Amino acid sequence: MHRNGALANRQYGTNVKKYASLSQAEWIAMKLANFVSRIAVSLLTVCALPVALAAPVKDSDWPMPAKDYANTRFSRLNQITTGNVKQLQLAWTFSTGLATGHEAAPLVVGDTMYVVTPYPNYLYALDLKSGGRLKWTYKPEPARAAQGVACCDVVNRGAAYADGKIVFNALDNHTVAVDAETGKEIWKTKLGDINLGQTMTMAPLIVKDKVIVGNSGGEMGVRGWVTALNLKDGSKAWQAFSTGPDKDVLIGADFKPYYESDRGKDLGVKTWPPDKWQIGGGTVWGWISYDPTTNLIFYGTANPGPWNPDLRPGDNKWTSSVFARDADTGMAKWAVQYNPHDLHDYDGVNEHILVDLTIQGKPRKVMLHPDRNGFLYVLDRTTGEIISANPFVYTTSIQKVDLKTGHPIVAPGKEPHTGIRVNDICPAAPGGKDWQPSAFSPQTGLLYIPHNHLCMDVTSTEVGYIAGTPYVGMEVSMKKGPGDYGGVFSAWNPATGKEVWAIKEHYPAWSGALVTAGDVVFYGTMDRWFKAVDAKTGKELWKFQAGSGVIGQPITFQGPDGKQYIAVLSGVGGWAGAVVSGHLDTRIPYGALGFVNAMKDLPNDTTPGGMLYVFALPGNTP
Amino acid sequence: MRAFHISCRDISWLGALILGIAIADSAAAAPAATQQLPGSEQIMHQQVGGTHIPRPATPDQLKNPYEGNASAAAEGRSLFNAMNCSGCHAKDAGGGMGPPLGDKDWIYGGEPGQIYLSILQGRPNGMPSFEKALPPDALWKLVTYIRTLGQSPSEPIDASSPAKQTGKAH
Repeated sequence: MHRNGALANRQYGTNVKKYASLSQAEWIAMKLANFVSRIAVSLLTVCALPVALAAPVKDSDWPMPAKDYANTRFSRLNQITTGNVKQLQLAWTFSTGLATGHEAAPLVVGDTMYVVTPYPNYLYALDLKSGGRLKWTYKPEPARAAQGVACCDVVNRGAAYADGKIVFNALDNHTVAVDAETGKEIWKTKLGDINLGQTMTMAPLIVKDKVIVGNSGGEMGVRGWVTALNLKDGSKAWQAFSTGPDKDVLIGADFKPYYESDRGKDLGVKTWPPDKWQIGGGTVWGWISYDPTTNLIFYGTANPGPWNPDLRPGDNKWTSSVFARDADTGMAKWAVQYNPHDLHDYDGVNEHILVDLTIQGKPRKVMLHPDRNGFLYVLDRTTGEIISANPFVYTTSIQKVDLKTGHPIVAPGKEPHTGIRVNDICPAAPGGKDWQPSAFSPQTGLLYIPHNHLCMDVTSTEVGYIAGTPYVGMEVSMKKGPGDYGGVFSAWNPATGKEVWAIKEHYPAWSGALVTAGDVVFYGTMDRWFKAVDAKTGKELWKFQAGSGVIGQPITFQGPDGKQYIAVLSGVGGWAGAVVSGHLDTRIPYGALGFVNAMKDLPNDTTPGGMLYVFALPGNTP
Repeated sequence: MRAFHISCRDISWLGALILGIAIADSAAAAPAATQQLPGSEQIMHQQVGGTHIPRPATPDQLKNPYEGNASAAAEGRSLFNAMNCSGCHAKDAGGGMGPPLGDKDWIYGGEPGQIYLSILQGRPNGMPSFEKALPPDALWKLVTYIRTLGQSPSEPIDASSPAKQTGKAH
């Protein structure tokens, strides 16, 4: 089982070594006089480079939403255990003052916590030495009209820290870097245009000297891209589109896709009706992972536009796909299209968790990907081969994934066509799982998946493209899945391809997951509970009723006092919670792209309102 | 209209071209009353009421020539879908990227003249201006349709049933 976490552990190990050599260099510099200092300075320069460029991975910190490059959301902190978590109590709170969906993960670097809010994307710095005292607030002042082109509430999924900077995206397509000490803006780069329906909601990933970000707006006829900015000054290093000719997609001679259907020139043009790739979606609003040993980043692309599939015959590459790219140049190494000619809004943006597994006796470098289409993919991250793909949710739309072609087999009768009503498509448009990120524990070898249990009825309609307005062409009405519940939180064994335990939730489990070395798993629910369960059994160990539904990403950190803390934002909203945060009309099923029909009862259980909660065990000492 | 992300952006001439036929139809059916409406430059200087600055009455010159007119409401409903209003506000205006229009919450006022101005001018949180896309006559038909919302939202508007077209004071 411990092999499973090899990558994450190796990362820790590598960086511990780097920190150690840096300290040595500093020690030498301090101890010796002028003669040695020049050597020490050069040592510092050499050693500081990888430290500054590598992700900070101290156990006490939480420097990026997924904690590490492998996207595990696993913490080695172990003061809070299955035995004592029932004593967990509130340490302090902080109100964000906003009443839209709070999906972000707080960050912790040293003595400071950083919280980025939904629009207007405030960045709060809170002092961990004094119970969360507000140190400063940075306001990027995004354009108000950006709210009008955000498909699914005005959420933000978090910031990232590196090299003394907090970097995040504002809704109106600005990536900003802020001095982590002072809160002063260092640079601000505009990457898109709200007048074309573009927004930015994802959390950047900082790899070495580059900030990697992507756009949102797959429901607005936006052309998706991922962009690398230089961390130093925000200038553009490279940009790779998801659709269009190979030169735009950064596909070159090194591109070696595993599957036949992904090979060929300019597939991002040829798999579309003429010019439709220019408004074809494939936005990049989910999670990015990074493997330092191969210098590859991995990320998924979103749905094609419009939703009505009759309006875009062809595979619609490279929407609903995963790319492996060189982090320095952006050049594609391989790609797999999860859902060619997507029919059901099954984006490919969900997380790719990098782990090393033993499969049929052989060590494999893999990544785990719970796709919107309801199947959990285990891929070889060096080649893009799909090793296995098993359903992790109730599904009627996809029968299986053909491992020879890599393609899902769509069930007969579940293909939407213009003017025809198709009922009981499961999973619904938000997928078996939407953005809500899973966690992986190298101790248990299990993946912890917050997910949906939703179906939908759809009628495809004609739609014309008008820049900056929705380009969907589908009337959708969602409903809770069989058994009349909307979500599940489950533990999955990727080595066996089987579910280990599952907890039913009345609403979609729309929060992130966190797992710790104390074998405790944390997640939140839309009906205001923040829960701790046993990582091995799923037994509920503790819960706390928050002020509003919890859709944020829980984190853990070690405070300046040496104690382990747990932190999470509450504040319902997002696509699933728009019925509450947007005060939508529960009498009409089509609101929020049809999500309202499945969430009509949510206003009975929660009101909106953003609040940060920080928990700890009682007592002053660890 | 509520401040929650209202939506879209300037619908340009493209939209007008796409919908030329529908508009031409509605223009042909327009009563003479629309000729007396103020020009857009005048309207742009009208103060807009709402929940923050309650205004007891709509300016007389912004009287809806179609209030309660069932066939105008039906045409307005077609325009609501054709102009992609439904893209943001959802089919039957249940809300989504833009706010729902069948409830009693109106940031910029729910009187016919106020709704007219919101569509004509756009609003800062994302509601585009339809001034260039639609003539006043078509805007009033949209207003007439929107005024029918909230009574029986799950049922389609039936132009042959005047009972549903009495309008609702928001």
